Amino acid sequence: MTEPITISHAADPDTIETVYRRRHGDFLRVAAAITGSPDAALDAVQEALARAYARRRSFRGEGSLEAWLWRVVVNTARNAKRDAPVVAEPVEREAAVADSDPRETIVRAGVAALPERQRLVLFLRYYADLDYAGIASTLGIRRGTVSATLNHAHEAVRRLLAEEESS
Amino acid sequence: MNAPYDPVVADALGRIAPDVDADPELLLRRAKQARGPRRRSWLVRGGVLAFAGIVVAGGAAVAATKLDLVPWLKTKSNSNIPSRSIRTGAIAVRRLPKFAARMPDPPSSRAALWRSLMARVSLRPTPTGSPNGFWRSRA
Repeated sequence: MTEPITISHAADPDTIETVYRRRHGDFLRVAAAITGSPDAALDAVQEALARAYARRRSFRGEGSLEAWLWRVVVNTARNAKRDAPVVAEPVEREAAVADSDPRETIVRAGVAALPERQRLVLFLRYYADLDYAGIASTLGIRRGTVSATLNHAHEAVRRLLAEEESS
Repeated sequence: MNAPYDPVVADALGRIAPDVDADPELLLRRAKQARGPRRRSWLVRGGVLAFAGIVVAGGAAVAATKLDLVPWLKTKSNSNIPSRSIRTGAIAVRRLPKFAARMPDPPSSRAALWRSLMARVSLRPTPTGSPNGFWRSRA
């Protein structure tokens, strides 16, 4: 697991860049999982980074800078997902889904149907390798809530896989 | 404390993990460029708000002055109030609508005395302007 960078003072641009370079791939993966689109993920991470620069004085050093950046990225990606216009699936995307493994399609649809908090906890746990504290700080919830939500999400995904195998 | 890791769930999520590839330095440069115009737009917005505030405050002040919206607030000086000057010789008693002034000991000289009565004065003003200082008010 990547150790978070913890500083006690206001975030300076160099430290933000250091964290960003270490977590660039994870930021993009989680943002893409939230928005459902690689292009939207690129825009969201770029926007999140710009916001982090602009609002770096609001970071008071109460937690890790990485957790603060994760919060900015996740919130920006959620906003992008919410504000994205609802459009029909492109033909290429439909063809790609049709060609993909049916199990992947079922898992994708099942994860998309989970409550948002369960989805976010799963993404942060398995795509960003964050621990309880990191997930709790990113989502602004208690560690106990993270644990319970993760357990529920595990059960949901396992139930989904079992139904898929039985059918 | 590390969160539990479920290998079955990890495998399932790994199958649908999004694959996004981008140059981190390119995103960094774009993010740095993106924050510039935003700051300028806030400066412009603040300037417009400040200008609008000045215009509104100035308009309110002009309206209050011209339309006398706050009559208790006197902005004019007393020099604008009409006054009346009397220039006459020494007299024993001068009765005025609101008060009377008496000169107990008329001066021996016939030098001219003068006084000015202002319209906006208290009920019994102390006469001023007497060259010898013996004008007195009387109830």
